[in-house]
Formats: sequence, C-alpha cells, structure tokens
Amino acid sequence: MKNQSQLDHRQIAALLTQSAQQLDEDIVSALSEKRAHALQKQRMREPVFSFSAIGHRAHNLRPHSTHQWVAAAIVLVAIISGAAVFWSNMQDRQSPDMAILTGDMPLDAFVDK
Amino acid sequence: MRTLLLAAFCCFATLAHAAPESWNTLPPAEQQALAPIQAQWNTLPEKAQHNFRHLAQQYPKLTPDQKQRFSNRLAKWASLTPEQRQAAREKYRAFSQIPREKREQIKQMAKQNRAARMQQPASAVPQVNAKP
Repeated sequence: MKNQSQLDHRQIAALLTQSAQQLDEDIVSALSEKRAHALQKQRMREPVFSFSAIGHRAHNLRPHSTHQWVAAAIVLVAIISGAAVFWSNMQDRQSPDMAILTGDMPLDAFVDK
Repeated sequence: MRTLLLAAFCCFATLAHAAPESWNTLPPAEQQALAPIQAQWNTLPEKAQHNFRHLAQQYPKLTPDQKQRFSNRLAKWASLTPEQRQAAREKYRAFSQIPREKREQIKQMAKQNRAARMQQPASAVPQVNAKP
C-alpha cells in the first residue's frame, strides 16, 4: 500500500473529485457561491484604465494665465515654422537639380532665354 | 512659464540659419565638385550655397560622363536667377511626365540641334573666307 506522501497529482485529483461528489448539495452550492464571490472581489482589485486621470494631467498642462497662453502660442508658432522650414528643405532636396545638371538633355532645353 | 520660454528660444535657435560658408571651410571633396563656381561662391546666397553643397555631396556617386556634364553646366546653373532655376525645374518636371518614347525623340532632336549648332561656326568660316 502506498504512503500518502507517495500519492501523485492524479490520485489527489481523483480523491478530491470523489470527496466532492460525496458532499451535501447545500455545502456544494455554498462553496460555489463563495468561489464566485472571491472571483468577483479579485476582478474588482485589478487596475482599471481611467480617462479621468488623463484629463486631470491635461488640465495641469493647460495654460492658466495670459503669459502662459502667449508663451504657448510662441512655442506653437515656432514648431509650425520649424516644420515649414524642414518641409521646404525636403522639397529642395528632392528638386531635380542634379538630374538637370547631369541628364542627357542640354541645360538650355530647360532654361528660358 | 520659464520652461515654455526656454522651449520657444530653443525652437527659434534651431530655426536660425548658420552663417554662409566660406569656400575655404568646405570639405575638399565638395571643393572639387564645386570648383567651376569657386569664384562666385562667396557671393552666392546662403540658400543657394546650401543647395550646391547638397549637389556636391552627390557628386562622388556620379559616372564620369555625368561628372563631366555636371562640371560643364554648374557655372551656368549658378549664374541663373532663383526664378530661372525654378522655371527650369518646372520644365524638367513637365518633361519627366512625358511618355518615355516621346522623351527619347525630344532628346534626339536636342542632340541634333546641338550638333548642328556645333557645326555652324565651322561652316561659317569658309563663307567668311570666301568673301573678298
């Protein structure tokens, strides 16, 4: 005969199943209810994403005085100007200057006289 | 507030253009590519210098034929006004839109015109000499 410490997980599971089947119906339903309750509590403890936290932080970032509004406007204009300059440079870089200077067609073909 | 002003200053500082480049400060590879316009380099506007430097950086990748054309055309290209250069770019873009076959025909015509022009002075010489 096997010792209790020698039982493997399958035998333990089988014993538990057998024991559970022998329990009174009241006890089974009470255990089931407790289990559902414990799971519900577990779910409630999980962190939940909240838009209110973002809104609160955004509120702190928003300018509150006239000076802050002016400074924010300056920053915005600078960013837009920077983007415009960057875009212009990109356009220049994509200009066909090199193709005109090295292509088969003579330069005069593209230049107004 | 201070942070915002500092950020604005940084943005404007980034936007600020560097001073025009002196010819002597250009890397030797760029000097070699831009040699045809060395004499006029210091008189060129900063933006034009920037564009020419960008072209010079692509110069080492060109084939010998392309390098030759580049060197032959660069001085004339630099002597054009920004408006003329822009007009030339527009014409090139329009030319690029033409179907390939048509483009090849135009290239052939341009070559023939060029060859005819090259021959013109030579044929003109005997006429001049023929006169008493």
